[in-house]
Amino acid sequence: MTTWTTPKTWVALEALTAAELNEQLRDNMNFLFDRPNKEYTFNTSDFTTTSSTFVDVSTLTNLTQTFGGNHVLCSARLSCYGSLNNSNLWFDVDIDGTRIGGDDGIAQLKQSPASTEHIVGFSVLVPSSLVAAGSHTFKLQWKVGAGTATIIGGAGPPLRRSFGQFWVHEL
Amino acid sequence: MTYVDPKTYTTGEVVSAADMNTYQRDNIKALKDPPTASYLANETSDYTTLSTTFVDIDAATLSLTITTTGGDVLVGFVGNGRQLTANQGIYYDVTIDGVRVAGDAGLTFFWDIVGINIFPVSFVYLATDLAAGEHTFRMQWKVSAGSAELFAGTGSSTVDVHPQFWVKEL
Repeated sequence: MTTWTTPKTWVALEALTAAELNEQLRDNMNFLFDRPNKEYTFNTSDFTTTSSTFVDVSTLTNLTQTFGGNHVLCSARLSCYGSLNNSNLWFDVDIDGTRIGGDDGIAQLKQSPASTEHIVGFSVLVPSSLVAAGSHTFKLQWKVGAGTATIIGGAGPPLRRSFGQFWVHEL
Repeated sequence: MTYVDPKTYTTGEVVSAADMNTYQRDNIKALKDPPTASYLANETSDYTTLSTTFVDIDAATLSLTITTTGGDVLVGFVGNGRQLTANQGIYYDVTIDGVRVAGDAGLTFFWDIVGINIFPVSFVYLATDLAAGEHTFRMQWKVSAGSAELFAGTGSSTVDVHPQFWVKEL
């Protein structure tokens, strides 16, 4: 992916150089054509947690990318469940060390009966004020009220291997 | 920054600074940062409804207006709620300039057979064929019966989740 350069203001009688046309037109258009993005697909092993405070799902779901300073669409689609009846699972996204949700994150699942799989999905538009031009790390985080929470990562039996995904994409 | 249709250059034409700024600088800027609006709820009370016909969730907060240049618009929502009556559903939809985009069951819904579960609701809808100009997008909902609750980031213990509604021209 190419980097973004703030478009310059052209002045009368200015000579157009190859270097500037390449930077201002070619590279900027290439940036717009293929914006920065990163993803992780849950297609190996399951993930579990018993933490009652937000923790990273895994180092595998920590996505680091260099962005151009615009809004970033952050989305997750997870197949998950809690081990206890009426258990709460909460999900959030941490950007460079700060969660973007409230005390209980962005998405919440309270399920009954126990171990009933659900698809949890969310798409959040992260404002450009939180993603200035440069490198940023997005971390998928979670916590559980009681018992054990599980994200299915493709290790389950047939018909229970819904591959989830966590991704970020500058718009 | 407003996007303008790129001009067609002719042989022998002098490329002026004004043209470079209008058709290159400004258009590239417009493509990088198209019209966008979003609202992250952080309210003092949660949203509730008993309505069995689609109504605005909150016309003051979950209502966004942008002026587009004729491109498609992504409309997104994430929230968490519950149906307080067993074996009933909650349905969500979006209006664009006062017209709902989906059918009788809206864009998405959930049905709770026990009346205590909390489900996340999220969608991204692609609005196409919108003419250039100002457009207003609003979140709506209804219940099959019973009552629905959408948590609005009030700070209540274990349900302090903040819904977000957003629109962005592509």
